[in-house]
Amino acid sequence: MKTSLAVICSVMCLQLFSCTASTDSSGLAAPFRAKIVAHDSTGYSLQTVTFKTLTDVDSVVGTYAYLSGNSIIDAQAELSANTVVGDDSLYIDPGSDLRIDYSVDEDNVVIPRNFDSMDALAIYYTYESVLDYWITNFGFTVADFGRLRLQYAPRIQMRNQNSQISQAIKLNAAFLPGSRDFLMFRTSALESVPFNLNLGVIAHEFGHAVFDYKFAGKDATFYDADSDISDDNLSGMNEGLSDYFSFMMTGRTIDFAESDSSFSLERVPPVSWKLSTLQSTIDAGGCNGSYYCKGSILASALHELAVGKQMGLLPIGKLAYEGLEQMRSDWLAHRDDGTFDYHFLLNAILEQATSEQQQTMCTVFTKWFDTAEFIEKLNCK
Amino acid sequence: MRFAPSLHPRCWHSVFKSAGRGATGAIFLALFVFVTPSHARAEFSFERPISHFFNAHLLEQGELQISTASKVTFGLFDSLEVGSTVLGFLGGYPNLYLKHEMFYVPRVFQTSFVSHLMYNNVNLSESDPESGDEAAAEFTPAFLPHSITMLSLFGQWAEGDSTIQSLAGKFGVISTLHLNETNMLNVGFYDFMSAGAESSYNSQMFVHYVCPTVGFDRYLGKHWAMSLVASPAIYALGTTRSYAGDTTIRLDLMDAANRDFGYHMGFATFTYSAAVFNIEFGLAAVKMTSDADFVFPYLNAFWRII
Repeated sequence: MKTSLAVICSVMCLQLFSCTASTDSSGLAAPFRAKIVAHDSTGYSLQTVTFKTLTDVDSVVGTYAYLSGNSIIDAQAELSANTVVGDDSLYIDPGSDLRIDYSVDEDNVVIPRNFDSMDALAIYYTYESVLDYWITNFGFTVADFGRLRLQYAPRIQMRNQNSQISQAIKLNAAFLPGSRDFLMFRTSALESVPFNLNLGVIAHEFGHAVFDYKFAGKDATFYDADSDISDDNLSGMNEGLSDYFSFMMTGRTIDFAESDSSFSLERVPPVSWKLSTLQSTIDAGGCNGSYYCKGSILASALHELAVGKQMGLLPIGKLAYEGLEQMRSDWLAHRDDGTFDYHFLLNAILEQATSEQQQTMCTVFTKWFDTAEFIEKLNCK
Repeated sequence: MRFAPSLHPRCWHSVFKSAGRGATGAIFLALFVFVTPSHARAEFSFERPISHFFNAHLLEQGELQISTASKVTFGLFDSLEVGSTVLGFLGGYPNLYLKHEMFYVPRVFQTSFVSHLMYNNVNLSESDPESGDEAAAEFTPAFLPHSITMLSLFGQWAEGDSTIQSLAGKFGVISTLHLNETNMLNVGFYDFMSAGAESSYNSQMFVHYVCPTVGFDRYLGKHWAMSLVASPAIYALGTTRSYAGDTTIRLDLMDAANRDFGYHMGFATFTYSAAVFNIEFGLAAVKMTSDADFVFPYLNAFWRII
């Protein structure tokens, strides 16, 4: 079955990407330039961009990351200590190199010939922009952080000997701990700005990669917990912090909503609920996003500190980033007994702040996490 | 006549409403009452074989078969038979039956392509909210099959799920081997397929069930025939496309773990032919994914006119 699927996928690959058909690619050399839809200060537009790190335009491979296509993720695979970068145990088929279809104009600008080819280039370009931001502001290095694989339009499959369910997800994007792959799913007709072209979406997924790098130490099993409460709190924190890292990088809060307006209620800060409303109302303050709802409280609090209290998006981001490492020991101590909560991160942030900053932070933290039980655990006495 | 338990009430409302408006119903009735046979023959034989959905025999050129279980078929040529379930048409389910002879060696074997496909179009905005909700709910598990219930070897009534737009039916290739003057073995493959589309969710779905079919026809004298048919589904392929993703499901229905899925049917019938008038009675067993298994007796009268 694996072989036949690979054949099918190969056929699909050929149909989607065709073979490279450059009009005249003899003058092409790095740094490559391409005409793609990308984000700038005016919003999304078709523009000619320059790739700083792309080394192979045909397969969209560079020194920061590389794209892969036709992969099939095994829905029944288990993350384990052996699941590390380069290990493909999570895959039925880890995929293969893309071959995009493009022509080259008289200025040696790559012109993608179809949406998939443009999409693939735009993903790399956006990822490059995001990683550049973290290299510049947080001192990241590719050697340490990793040269990640960006899976283009992966499928997820569940199978046994006699049945198989295979799904090509749309309207989403994901980061896969363990293998540390980005999953850039197919574009849905409902996406106003395709997720794959959305700077904020890729910055959010990159936020998960940062969380994985700083908090979990790239160890997929580090997230394991016996307690669902701890697990939910960590998952929500991961989402909220990734949202904030996205706001920090783009300087905008509406990126997600630009792709899908349903995000405007639950993921654009400030959200309309606080911890008390989330816990005391039947409809969770109007939020339907399970642990994301609490994560959005964290994102709203950090955003208020950064913008409302003018402490700056980057400085607050740096405090949160450093707090992640500090939180590792708290997680190990409390993940199984169900007492792991957001206060460990907030206290880690408070510890790094000056006493003047702490006062402001406490005002904001107690405003958003406004239950007596939670406030009691904050170092805001 | 008995219909599947899950038949949507709207089918019948629209049958009667449409029948009241159209002249087709009157013509249909007139066929029953006024048509007089010119060449009435009551004997089953090589020259006048029993012809039904699960064997390869066709009606003669110019022969008309009218079934109370709703299908009217006509031998356009010796090698082509066309027809339709008229009540389905009147109820808003346009449908077309085709049978085409592919190979024929007289008194040895005959192979035919046979299909009966039904189109259904439901506009939710025109239906009452309750039915609309129900239709939407039925569309959600889109990989489930549309139910098509065949009540008789000779006439089909198609029950379509209330999706927005759908094409559903069964088609396949069947061979009839003439074992001797009175016994025939039918072997073939049918594809029970269903396709649907819904505009507001930008969704499409396809379901295929591969149904190997084996049957046996036996003439019990000049006026009587017996038919046995087993048509189980052994493999299912379902695909859906929607705004949230594309899903493909492949199921080996021979696996016990998948026994709740599938679409299986079987018949055991007797047919009596008295010149133009024929009557069929027997038992049918149907198992559908979305409904309970059921076995039911049925009775079908039909007329063969040439």
